[in-house]
Amino acid sequence: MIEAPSGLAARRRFRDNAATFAARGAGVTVLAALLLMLAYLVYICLPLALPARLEPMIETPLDTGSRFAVREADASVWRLPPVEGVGDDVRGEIHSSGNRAALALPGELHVYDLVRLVDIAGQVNGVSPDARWRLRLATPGALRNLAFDSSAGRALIAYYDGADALHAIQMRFPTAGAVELQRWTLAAPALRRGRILLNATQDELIVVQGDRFLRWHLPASPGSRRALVFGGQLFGLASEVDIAAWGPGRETILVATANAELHRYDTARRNLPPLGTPVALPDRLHWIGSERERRLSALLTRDERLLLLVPSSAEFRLRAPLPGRPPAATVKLSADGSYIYSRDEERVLRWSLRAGSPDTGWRSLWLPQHYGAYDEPTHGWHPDGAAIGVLPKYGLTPLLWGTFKAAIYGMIIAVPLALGAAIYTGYFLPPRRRNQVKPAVEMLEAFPTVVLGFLAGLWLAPVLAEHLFAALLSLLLLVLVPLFIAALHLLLQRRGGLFLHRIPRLPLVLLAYAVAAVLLLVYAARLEALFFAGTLQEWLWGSFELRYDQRNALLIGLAMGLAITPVMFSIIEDAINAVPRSLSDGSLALGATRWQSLAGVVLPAASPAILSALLIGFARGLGETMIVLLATGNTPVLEVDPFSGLRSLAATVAAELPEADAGGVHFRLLFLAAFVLFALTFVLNTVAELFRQRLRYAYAGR
Amino acid sequence: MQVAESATTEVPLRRAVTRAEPLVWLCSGAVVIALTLLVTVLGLLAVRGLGHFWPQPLILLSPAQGGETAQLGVILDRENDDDGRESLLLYRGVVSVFPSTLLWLMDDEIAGRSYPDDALAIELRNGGRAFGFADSLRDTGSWRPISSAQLVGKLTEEPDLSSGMDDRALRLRLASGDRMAIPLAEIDTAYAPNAMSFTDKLGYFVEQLGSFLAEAPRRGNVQGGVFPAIVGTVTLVVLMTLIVAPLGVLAAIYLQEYAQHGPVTRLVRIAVNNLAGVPSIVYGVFALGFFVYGLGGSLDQLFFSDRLPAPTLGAPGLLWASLTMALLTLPVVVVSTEEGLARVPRTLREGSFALGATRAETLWRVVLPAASPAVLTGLILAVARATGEVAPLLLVGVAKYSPGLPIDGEFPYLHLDRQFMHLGFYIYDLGFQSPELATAEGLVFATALLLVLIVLFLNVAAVILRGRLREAFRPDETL
Amino acid sequence: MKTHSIDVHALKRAPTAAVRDDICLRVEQLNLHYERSGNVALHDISLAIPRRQVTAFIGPSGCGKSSLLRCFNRMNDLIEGSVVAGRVFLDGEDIYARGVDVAALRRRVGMVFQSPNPFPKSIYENVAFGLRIQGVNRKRILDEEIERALRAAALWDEVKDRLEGSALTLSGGQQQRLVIARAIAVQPEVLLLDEPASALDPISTLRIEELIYELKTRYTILIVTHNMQQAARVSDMTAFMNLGRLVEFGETDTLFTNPRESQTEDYITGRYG
Repeated sequence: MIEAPSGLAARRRFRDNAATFAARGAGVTVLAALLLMLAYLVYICLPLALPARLEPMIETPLDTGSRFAVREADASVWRLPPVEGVGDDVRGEIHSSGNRAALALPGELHVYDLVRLVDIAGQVNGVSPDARWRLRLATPGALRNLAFDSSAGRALIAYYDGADALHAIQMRFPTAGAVELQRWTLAAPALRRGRILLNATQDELIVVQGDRFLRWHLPASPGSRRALVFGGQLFGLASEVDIAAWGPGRETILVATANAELHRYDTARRNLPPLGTPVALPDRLHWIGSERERRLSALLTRDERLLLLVPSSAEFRLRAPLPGRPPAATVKLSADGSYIYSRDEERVLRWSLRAGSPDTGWRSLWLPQHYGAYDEPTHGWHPDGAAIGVLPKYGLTPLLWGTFKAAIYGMIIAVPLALGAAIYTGYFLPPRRRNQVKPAVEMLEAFPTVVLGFLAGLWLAPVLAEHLFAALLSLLLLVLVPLFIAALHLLLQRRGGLFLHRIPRLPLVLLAYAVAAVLLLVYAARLEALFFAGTLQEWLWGSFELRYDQRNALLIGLAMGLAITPVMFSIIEDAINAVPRSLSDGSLALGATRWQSLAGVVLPAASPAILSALLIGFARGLGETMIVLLATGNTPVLEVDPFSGLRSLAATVAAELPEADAGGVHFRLLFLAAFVLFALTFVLNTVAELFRQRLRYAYAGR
Repeated sequence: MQVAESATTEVPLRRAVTRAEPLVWLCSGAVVIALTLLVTVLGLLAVRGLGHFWPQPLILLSPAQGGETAQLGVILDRENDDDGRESLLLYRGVVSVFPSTLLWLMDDEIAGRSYPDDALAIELRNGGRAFGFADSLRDTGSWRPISSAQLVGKLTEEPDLSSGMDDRALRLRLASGDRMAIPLAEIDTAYAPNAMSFTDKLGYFVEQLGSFLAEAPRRGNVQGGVFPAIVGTVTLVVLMTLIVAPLGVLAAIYLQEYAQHGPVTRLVRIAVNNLAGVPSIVYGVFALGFFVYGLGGSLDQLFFSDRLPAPTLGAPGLLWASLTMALLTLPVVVVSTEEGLARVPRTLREGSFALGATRAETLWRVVLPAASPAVLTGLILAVARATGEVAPLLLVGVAKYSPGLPIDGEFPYLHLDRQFMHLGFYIYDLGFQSPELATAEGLVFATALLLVLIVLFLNVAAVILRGRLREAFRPDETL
Repeated sequence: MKTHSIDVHALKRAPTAAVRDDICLRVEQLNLHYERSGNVALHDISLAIPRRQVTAFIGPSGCGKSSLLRCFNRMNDLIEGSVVAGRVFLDGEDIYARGVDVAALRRRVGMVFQSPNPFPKSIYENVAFGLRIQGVNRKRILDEEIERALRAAALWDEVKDRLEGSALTLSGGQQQRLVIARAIAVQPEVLLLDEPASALDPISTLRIEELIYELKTRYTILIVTHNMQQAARVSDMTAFMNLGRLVEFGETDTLFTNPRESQTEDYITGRYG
């Protein structure tokens, strides 16, 4: 009878099993949600940490005798049309840049537009014989050390002639098929056959030979013929120069020397000062190529190994033997750095460069970097530099700094407030009052952080800027006024009067604060003038060079303090209230004052929970987004003082992620920022939970 | 003994100081500060937010010698410079003849200030406001002089006067003396704030408050109401509750009623605790990557491939936002429900089991009803948290201005893929992205007040419910 | 008073598993221990409990009498880490066998706890609870059954006018009778009473005892009590337990007047406990 399930019993049993299943499922779902979150953040961040790889892609055989060029944008291979009167056995020198290629032949120069006309089977694309310009050169002998750079509307060519004179030709293409030319002959007597480097805007030409350099500024207007010139020495070179080439983004010049060192020189300054310390290379180089939009250079060593280097942080992201048949005659990096191709007599080989983020390593993310145009190594967060034509800076340190700064300033305000209020509510207030005061203080939680941020940023910031002295003084008064009442109390007590006992504390303190506020309103301006002979801001600037930003850490501290007070208050108050009355009664019975029994008995018993509350409050502060976003200037600086701004990880993520390109480096770095936040709060909360469990066991044991 | 001697002089003072309890006074100070902050912030929001709807007097500033022209408008701000000279920020309305609607005027540029009774404020249908004096009206073909009071009366008596597209127009005399014709069809309302009695102002106030709650924003969000944002917020929260309520309650039941004290339980508990501490923005990041780009992108390819490359679910929207919020508030529900379940006495469960009830029946018929105030408290707190939370929404679903509500009469009625407006985001956007902050500030304060009141109401409800729960299981009541 | 006389020695030895009409519950070599703490709560308990009589379990606190009682409806299953070895037969069926529907068992073996535990529902719903989960939902049947149960629990006259009122408004004694009514509404065969009067005042206690006397005509009643007078007043059989062992089991009159074991004698004469 007990075993035989009727229809009803079976239904009941089924329902019971279903409920068990559902509850267990929900429990596992919660766990899965956390793990999924963790795993997904890691999954997105992981490519940042993975080394770069080269994958062979396309091998294009070349017909012997034809001339070929490679278009930089998509790394496609192009056959150049035969040149009348010049046999195919004269190969000439071919340079490609952008969507153009230049062919140097004795006495003449051909420039081709690499424009697709006809689809030809295979990967080889043909160039229409019309899509070229033939420049007859009046200069003697073969062209040497040709440099060619082209962009949408123009191109710049520079070369040495047979007599070692330096020539520059600027081509402008106002309409399709038309061209305007401007020629310079530049005097470079000291530097014969130096390496010629052309800048991205094609108005500057730098020649490097040995440790000497000359740079010309080519005037923008076609009418003017004068070129400014500056010459000097590249300092710090301990050995003979092997190669000089542009660094990433043409921000620096990289110079490889015979003792296998790579030096960087800052082109933002006229005299090309060295940047940072030289990078030690595994071998001497015979080729350097750099990307335009990422801080990445590709180096080819003499033993045919390819190195990918972030020159600013000296991080090698790849060291691999260059696949293919050595020696490669030409190696090039495509414009966006996703392809590397090399060419020898018979074929063009192309590899795709696979890396989540080849240009950001551990060092470049967290350590100061010596970027071009900076006097010293700096931390910088400027991820969208490409949009304004400079290289992006991906330093996470200022963001982490800002995160901690915001949280710490918040804690400076919140901890005394929460702790004091919790102690008073939980220990000194009679239960009836406590039941009114506690929920009222907890109602502070009801202010959404966006509202606090808005009030801080738009209402408080101007007030604070105008009345900084009064604001700081009032913070001080918040502490001094209760102490003053205590002193008064002491005085009256000594005189025998105890009337203060009959007045409830809270209204009395409120009254005293109100009186202090009125006095402050009346006298603050006079006091400020008295102490600082002007305004406090001026004095700070004059004495300490402290600049007062309107949206600063003090403001954040106030708003954040308000935001994290209720949660800490709530936990601490509960903990103090949970300490059995008998404990402190015992202490009181021994003659201790109320404060002594609080400090000696109650607070130690509640201390794990208090610690845990502080950790939880701090974690809240680290992750707080809206207040920081709205009430700081979001400037990524590393300042300690309360009057400067900051930029936090959370605010950065909120501001930048919607615009970041999914899957790009910036996107992944913002996920890394989120992961850092996740990890920080995870640790803090776990430690807090351990503390609380200790408290729980302590009472369970009693 | 020597020690005792030296101590005799000190002890009384020290004892006296301890008895004066300076630290207790400090702690009581902290309570006062916390409560004052609560009241101050609420008061500030109330005054500035509600003040936005109160008709502001129109001031007429006559120019000092050599000054430009007279100005009529609303004073938005006053500032004193170091020499004690006052300067005023005047809002002059958005009529096109002025180069700028806002004007700073120094004290010495102003010869006289007055509040003329016939100064007229006109709300235009395109959202702008015009200030001036009624000059003449063309409602039957020719211009006839009209006073401001007459015009206000006429507009109230004949509400259809300003409807329809014809050549009926009002000529307004501006403070500068210029005259400007405004087609009646463009006039929404007209009122003379300086002539209004207190009751009139109150009526205007109520009407403005009503349109703030019930109307859509106008003119780049700087005027009008927040109705779409209210609908968006409510829809988000309701959807979130539908997701989080079953999941959170079941997870709490698992932890409290089913789980053995094993490693899995401990892990789940750690997970809940940590989920509660993870910053909300991290949820947003996760949701954007995983839900929007990952899940949404895949679902688009499976079901909405005909609409690609325009994303349907692969873009921020209501569905993902409510899922994110559900995940975010899950710990709140779990912790509160667990607390409620733990408070249900074991004897009740045993009583039910002893009657032959299965575990599910015991839960469903005895334990959950007894714990329902706690469950409700948790849900209300979750709703309160979700209502005030903006950071993840920046990433997964809000829009600055969304023409379509997430709920409408069009199939499928609830548009999970749509972006939506949200009160919190509205504050963020208007306060920090709007070029016309000076005119919109009142609106931001009003929205902030509304948001705070909603969250406050929810929190108070939760506190009351929690109090009830504690009463219900006080042991001495059952005997 | 006693309806039949029983071979007491045979009962204690419990020699066979054969179904006997006069035996309701038979315990064979029952052991109970807790995995976590390693505490042994019950040690080799064997006894047979006669049908439609009141059997009292007495002994000092912690002797295992409540644990034993909770073995009869497998309430110990709810305590994590409790391990039961041995067999308990209800009408010849092993209730610890595989495939036993515990919920069905508990319907047949009702239980009333130390302190009254009415559900925070109406009086009516409290009594209806067991019936509803058995699938009885028709109002007329429910009404009848509830009246019957409340009458049987001698509570009907006190609450018939406020059946929809909250059960928590009843007095402690009334609550305890309500709980008994709730238990007998599902028509169990056995009623387990775990110190049912310990939280009640003397008058309420007396009413409960009267109720037990009336109920034994229909139910086999097992009562745990620390009150020896109560055991002597209400029970037909008494088992004395100490330190998890069954020390002595016999007819109440004999056990109290002429105990065989010295431990029993020490206990009932108040030398310890």
